[in-house]
Amino acid sequence: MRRPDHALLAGAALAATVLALPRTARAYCRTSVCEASYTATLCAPPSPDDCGVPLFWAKPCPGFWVQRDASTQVDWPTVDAIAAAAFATWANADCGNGMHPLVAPVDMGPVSCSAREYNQSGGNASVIVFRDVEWPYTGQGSTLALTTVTFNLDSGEIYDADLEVNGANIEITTGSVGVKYDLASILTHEAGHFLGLAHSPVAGATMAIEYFPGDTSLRTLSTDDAAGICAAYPPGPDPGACDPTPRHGFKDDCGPGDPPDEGCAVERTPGTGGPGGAALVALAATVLAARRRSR
Amino acid sequence: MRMLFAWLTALAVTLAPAWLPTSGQAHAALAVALDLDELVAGSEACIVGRAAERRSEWVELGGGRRIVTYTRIDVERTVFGRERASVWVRTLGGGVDGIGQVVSGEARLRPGQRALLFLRRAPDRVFTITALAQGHYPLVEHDGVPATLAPSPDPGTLVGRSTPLPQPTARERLVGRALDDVTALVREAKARLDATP
Repeated sequence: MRRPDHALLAGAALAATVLALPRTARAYCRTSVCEASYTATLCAPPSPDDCGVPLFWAKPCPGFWVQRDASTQVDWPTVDAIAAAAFATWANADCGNGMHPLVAPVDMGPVSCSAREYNQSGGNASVIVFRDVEWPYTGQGSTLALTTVTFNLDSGEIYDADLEVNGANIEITTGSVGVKYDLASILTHEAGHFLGLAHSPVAGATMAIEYFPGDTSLRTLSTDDAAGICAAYPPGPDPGACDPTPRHGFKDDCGPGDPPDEGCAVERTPGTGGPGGAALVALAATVLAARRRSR
Repeated sequence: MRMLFAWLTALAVTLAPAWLPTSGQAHAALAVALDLDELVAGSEACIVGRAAERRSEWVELGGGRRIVTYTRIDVERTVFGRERASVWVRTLGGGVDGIGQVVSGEARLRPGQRALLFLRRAPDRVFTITALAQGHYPLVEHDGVPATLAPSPDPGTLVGRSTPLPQPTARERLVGRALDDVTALVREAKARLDATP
């Protein structure tokens, strides 16, 4: 009878021990800006490629608008409702102990401008816009949606974020039956980018790096997504009144225009049916306060 | 000696997964996953080169003003397409006068870094990277071992198809492979596509 091979047994034991140790799997990541204006990510736990400061909205109530033409595939009220639900999903993320992240994007209604733009001196609007005729970026017809985030290179403060959805090449659906490319899943994922999150290596997360048509699971957040948004906007005391007006004011049409007055006034296009400026500030404050009470 | 061998074997078994290309990273803004034939067919050129310099500026593009970055690539190898000493490649995002823009899923070309790039021209004749980060493969240099391909730093979210692809995605086929192997693979795909009526 052979004696046990102690050397091999010791090796096997070592392997088993190391494998049994808790593994620090990579999880959610936030988009960051590094030196020399490189963008990168900051992940939890930290990854060797981490650098810079994370992107973030300084005010807890960034406004968003849905371009009034919406899509030939989906009408404006439907898009607006789905977009509002997508942002609410992030705002209502479970941070534990009944707490929620201190961010609640505000649905500001329709906007006329269909351009994805940021005006450095004039008014702005963070828009959700569909490209139904032609996807405007060469060689990227396979892209379903694109979020462009504009920010301060030093501080990482987000100034504007525009979501473009490819309605020219992609069949979009909104229901739960006969699902193709699910608009709610697409907008919930892109809303994560709007808020400064990057892609997550965690399978099944809304910010994951893989999605299949027919899947509606991105509509709801995973624990990894919730951990990411709660880290980015930690629960805190009610900030009180919050003004969702964009940087340099709101501008309904495209182009730089004249620099509007800074301040808390919210301009609306006559006939949009949206709430007035003071009402929007009050709405933002109410939403945040209500969520705080729910804690 | 046997003990040393056993310990090394155990360590190799334990740590190997960390060295292998992460399949998750191999999958990509929200974009449909392309297979290699689609990536080749959609490209005017495929090159290996080193990013040499770059500059960002505001331009009118896609119906609005946005920040783009132009990066000069010094070409080391032309896999297919016209031979050039260098090309300027435009990517979405960058930084100008204190303002930054980022498009998640776009390729990030870093000066000094070598990469395999699939390129096509925009209507204004400027080269762009085909299918965002799906057309960008940084090279990982190894001491004494041929360079291999890595996924672009922010691969974006790759979207599957309603019907399965007949072959693996381009990223699945290319990431982790040696550059010479990939060059042969891409040229073979290009020749086959060119021969197809």
